Amino acid sequence: METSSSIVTRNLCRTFEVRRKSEGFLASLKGIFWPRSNFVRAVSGLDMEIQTGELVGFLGPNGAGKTTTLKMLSGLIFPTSGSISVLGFQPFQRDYEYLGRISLVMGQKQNLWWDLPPIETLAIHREIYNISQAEFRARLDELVEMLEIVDCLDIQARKLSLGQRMRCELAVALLHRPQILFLDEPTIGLDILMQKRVRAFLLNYHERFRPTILLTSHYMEDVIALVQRVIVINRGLKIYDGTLNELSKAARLEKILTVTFQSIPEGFSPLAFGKLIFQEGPRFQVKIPREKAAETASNLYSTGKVLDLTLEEAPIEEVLGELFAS
Amino acid sequence: MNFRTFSLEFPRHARILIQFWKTSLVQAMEYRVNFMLGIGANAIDFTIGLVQYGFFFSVANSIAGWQKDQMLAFYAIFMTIFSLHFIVLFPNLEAMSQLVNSGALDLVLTKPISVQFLLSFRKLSFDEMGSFFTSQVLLLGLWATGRIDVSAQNLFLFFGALFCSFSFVYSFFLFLMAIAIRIEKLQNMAELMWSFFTFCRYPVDVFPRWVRSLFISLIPIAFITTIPAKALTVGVEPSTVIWGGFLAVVFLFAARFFWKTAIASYTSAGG
Ligand SMILES: Nc1ncnc2c1ncn2[C@@H]1O[C@H](COP(=O)(O)OP(=O)(O)OP(=O)(O)O)[C@@H](O)[C@H]1O
Ligand SMILES: [Mg+2]
Repeated sequence: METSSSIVTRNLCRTFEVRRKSEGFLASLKGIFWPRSNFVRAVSGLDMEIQTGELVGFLGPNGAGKTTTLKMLSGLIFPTSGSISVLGFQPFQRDYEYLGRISLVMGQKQNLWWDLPPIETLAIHREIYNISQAEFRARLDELVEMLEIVDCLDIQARKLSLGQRMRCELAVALLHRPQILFLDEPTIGLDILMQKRVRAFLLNYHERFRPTILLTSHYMEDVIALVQRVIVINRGLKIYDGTLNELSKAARLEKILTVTFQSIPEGFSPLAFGKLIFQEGPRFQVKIPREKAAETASNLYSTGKVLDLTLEEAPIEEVLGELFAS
Repeated sequence: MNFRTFSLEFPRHARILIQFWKTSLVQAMEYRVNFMLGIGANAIDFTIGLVQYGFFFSVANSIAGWQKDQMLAFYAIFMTIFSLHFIVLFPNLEAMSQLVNSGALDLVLTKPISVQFLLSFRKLSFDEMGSFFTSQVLLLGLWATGRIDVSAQNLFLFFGALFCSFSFVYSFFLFLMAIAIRIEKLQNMAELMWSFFTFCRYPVDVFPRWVRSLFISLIPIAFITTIPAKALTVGVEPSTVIWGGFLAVVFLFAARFFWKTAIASYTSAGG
């Protein structure tokens, strides 16, 4: 059980039909009888496999197909073709037993019933998931403490601030201890401090209960803090699947070399190695091709004038930007 | 869903619904004065309708063959069904467009519950209980003073006809709910439901003969108010109620099918 796959998709595709709207009366009349449609391929041929208890980042630029994939995995919409198996279920059959073991949180949509205070929503969820009163109290206390939401529970959901609402939504989504958690941009719109708190909570929660989590976010801090493995998609196609560390290698990006000299060696020109990022007195930062990195460093050391030298991977944002553009 | 899963799932669904209703009641009670006023005003509406009939019957002996007492029974039954629709279905239909547009439907669909059941009945509008209760009082009064005939057979046919009535109203409601999923921009579904009821406001006997037969044979308007009222007053043929029952089942299945296809074709915009 420990190492089995929780989520498996094979050649997963989803196409949306988008009716084209016509301008003008005659054209729209024509559109009623001869509708013209465009087909948008949101996800095409996605293969992935996620092990039980893994926390995986699901990345990609706007419109890449992340949300569409999460919607298919949670049974909200059906795939156009291909197969999905989550915990051995086919999500779109909307089996109660399956839905009872998952949770979907969407940062851009509200989960809490808009006109109810969270405590009422939680009480309704207690009935939905058949949780005993004692168990409910225990779990609620725990979540309330971890999320620090004591003060928000009795306030109508529409009157909560975004940060309060998001934390309450997490409490609601986790009440039934889902084995699988789909988090679609759970930190969107939150201030830096609140993002940090949500992140710390997620890490802590995952540590404690080991659910399988698939998370999307456009904030690289989330990705770096939370996940080891990332799956990157672009225009519905998977372009990377592996550890975060390997990502920059896969992108074949230059490394960043920072060197500080005691005194600048005779005839030294940073342009001979690569692209200059900045220069500040005897301190230079250059981008150099990955395969030349080691050689360049040892050459510089051999001048005997190096005070300090570091070689770093390009920042993850840049790596992703490069991947998305390709 | 087979019987076993139904018998397992029904108690859980009932508890969920009761939890929703409790919340509605608590919310309504927060504005207690409003709550009482709403119910009071609603009961007064009911009474004004009643007084209108009184005026009418002071100058005429019957409307389309309906005597005064029969007409009162008709009115009580019309108001029972009309107010039940306003108490349970109307607020849910009203909330449906918003639910689809805000994307909250997404999150309902990922819960282990019957979405149809939950979205049909979750909200209650308490104001309309005023006319519901007053119409029950009127029915009881008619019965206590011997103005309606409650023989065993009539009562049996009455409840049969009432089942048909509820089924038709619910089918029409579910049909509109499904349309609200398909056409996201469509508002005022609830108004449509309302105008549907204008046909049920008077006995179908006020319509020309051919319309009347249409309302019994294919479009089941007659079954919503006229037939139940007739069952309690002048009596109806059992065959009429059996035909109504058959139609009711067909309508329920058709509406359910339409709803299911709407859910299956739901594409969930945004996010
Ligand atoms: N319900 C829908 N109807 C039509 N097209 C859709 C629908 N949902 C998504 N799409 C299209 O499918 C593509 C993928 O959208 P999706 O929402 O999955 O992207 P995403 O990766 O979540 O992007 P973002 O980071 O902006 O949230 C987009 O081109 C989008 O326009
Ligand atoms: Mg998205």
